[in-house]
Amino acid sequence: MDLTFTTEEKNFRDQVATWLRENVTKEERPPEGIEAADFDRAWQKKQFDGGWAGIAWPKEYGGRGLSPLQQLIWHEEYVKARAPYIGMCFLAVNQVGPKLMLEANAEQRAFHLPSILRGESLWCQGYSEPGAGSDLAGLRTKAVVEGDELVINGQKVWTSYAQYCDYQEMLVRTDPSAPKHKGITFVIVDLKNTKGIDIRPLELMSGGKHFSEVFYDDVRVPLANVVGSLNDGWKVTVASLAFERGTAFMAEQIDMANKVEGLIQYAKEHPAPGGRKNAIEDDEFRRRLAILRAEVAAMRAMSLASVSRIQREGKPGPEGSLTRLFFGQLTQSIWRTGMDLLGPERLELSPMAQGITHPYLRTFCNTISGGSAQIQREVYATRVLGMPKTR
Amino acid sequence: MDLLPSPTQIDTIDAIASYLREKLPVARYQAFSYDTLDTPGGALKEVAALGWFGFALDEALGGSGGALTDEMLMMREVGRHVAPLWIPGGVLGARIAALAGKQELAAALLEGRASVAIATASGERPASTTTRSGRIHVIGAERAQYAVLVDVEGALLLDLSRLRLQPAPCIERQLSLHHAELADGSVVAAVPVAKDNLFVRQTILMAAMQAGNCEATRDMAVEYAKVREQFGRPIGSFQAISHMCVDMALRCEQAWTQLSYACLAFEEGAPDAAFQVAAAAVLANRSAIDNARANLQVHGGIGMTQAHDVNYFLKRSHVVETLTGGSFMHLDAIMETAGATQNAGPMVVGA
Repeated sequence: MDLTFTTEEKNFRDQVATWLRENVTKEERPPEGIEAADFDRAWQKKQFDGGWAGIAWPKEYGGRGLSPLQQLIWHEEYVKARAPYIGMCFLAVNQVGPKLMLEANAEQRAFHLPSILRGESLWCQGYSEPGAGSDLAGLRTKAVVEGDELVINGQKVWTSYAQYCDYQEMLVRTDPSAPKHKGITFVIVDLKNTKGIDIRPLELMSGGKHFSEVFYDDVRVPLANVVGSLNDGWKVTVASLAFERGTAFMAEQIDMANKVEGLIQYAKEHPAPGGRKNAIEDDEFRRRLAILRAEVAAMRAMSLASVSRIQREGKPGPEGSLTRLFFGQLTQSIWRTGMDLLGPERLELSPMAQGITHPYLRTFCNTISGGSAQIQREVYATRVLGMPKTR
Repeated sequence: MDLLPSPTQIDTIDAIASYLREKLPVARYQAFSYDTLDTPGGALKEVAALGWFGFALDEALGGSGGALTDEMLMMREVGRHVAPLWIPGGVLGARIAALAGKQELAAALLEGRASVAIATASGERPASTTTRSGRIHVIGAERAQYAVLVDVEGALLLDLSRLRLQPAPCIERQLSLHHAELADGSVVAAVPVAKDNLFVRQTILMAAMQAGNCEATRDMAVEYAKVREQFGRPIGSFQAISHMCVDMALRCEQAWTQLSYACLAFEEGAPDAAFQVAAAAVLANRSAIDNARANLQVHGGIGMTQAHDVNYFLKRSHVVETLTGGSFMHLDAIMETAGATQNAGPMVVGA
């Protein structure tokens, strides 16, 4: 057990800090729209050109082939340098990339992985459907093999940034007669060059068009776009879930410390609602903020333990579901505390991704998307604790 | 950077765990009659012979010169078995005696020739190690010769025969509990905080006991949920139960990873060590108490009886919370140590 870094790691940290200091743009990231998509692509490209994209990705796919610990150092310095949120590159870089490395064939890897790192392709997910949320394997969007193509009909929903993306990773039902987990295929859809796709953005309660409904009407996709084999899609997805639930959120986790420090600063400068003293002098607020500070520290310690485990065992452990669960709960209690601190100002909607009220409305997403808190618990209970299957 | 125990540490943990399982399992409480106290018996000398009291004490002072992390790993196992409090008492007592230059007394404690209880400041006039006066509660004084009293200013080793001890019933019935007025004449060794931060050490050892406690109750709840049947199926098949068990597992991860980090930060003299330790104490206390409560709920009626182990973990979690100095004190410390974390930026690892 130790917290020390090697000379090589310290030098790496210095290089990262220097590059970020010189290259992080002063320009605010646009909160949404095509401007945000362009901004995210350009920033990803800049990181790639600087040699900082895909730090822990193998060299053959354009990465640096460095250790998970160096990846963590990158995230730490990234947050310290107040570099922009990864935005629409999140899915491609953190989830699609690792998934393709694990499950795709050589041709698919060679085609997609370098372009993901260069910020040339934005990806979205095509998993959830109106009738398949937590019960994802109950999905009904149908795909039929015709010659060397799959013909897709159906509907997906909650598709983040679909209107700006180049590719979609999609789960479709290819064998309706098989048990539900066995008749699903994982396929890549080229959103920009495929006919029959209708994307209809949905407005969030916080404003902004983050999600879309996506409709498929006789959409023809080459069979060569299937990842893994036909009807094997569930296995392909499950194999990569560890990335989604484990390390993918590391930068956001580290950034939570900044959010809590921001609330503490606010509490020092503003009276507690209904009180005369500044909120920081109010026992209840002071203790709530102290608990948040402790929890953020624990979140970071859990991430460090995860990295330690990846270094020792080569892959994230089952604690990833717990980290994800904690992340969702913690972001919600941070912003809930922010709402309580505000007083009547809590009625004013802050600009997108700024202040307190807008982020508060967005945090509800963190215990719903990517597997609800209940599904995270379900997965951990049955796979790790060995509980009997429920429902 | 590596937050996991080394292979050597894992071997040590296994040896400690197997001794506790065999000689001091929580099941020992079942053999006691209603009012039996868990006083040091033959196990005291055995534990001393295994070197447990001097794990992290310098070799020059009679210890084995190990790291505080070794002691933390040991106390996690102690907590898992609701093992006797004279174990941490002996660790702290031997250290105070040795650092105060009382070599003979230190040797006696390291060899298990006397046992050490733990005192805590209490009441309306709580005792202070500086004024050496005020009220204390002593836990485990029955058949012990000494007690430690540690606060943020220093640490004292007290001769119990020179204190007027008034017995009181303890919620953990197998522990003896006494009130006393701290008397200057009872102090046989003293270490100021400037010489050694025994308060942080005691906090880390107690938090480690809490981490072990909450891991044990998680495991008990999970095992029980798999075998206890209602409505014709194991209760673990009900989400109301299984999700509760997952929350218990999350609390274990929070407590243990934060404590590991805090212990290393303290040992390495990191600028934010005081903050990290306070955060670890808060989370370990909360995790242990909340898990013990959830474990009782999963067990239902049997969990409320003296006939089942469940209650010992709950009571011990409250005893140990008190011995960390209490969570409120650490919450205040978290806010007071803010400067250290802010100056160092959001991440201070190896900076």
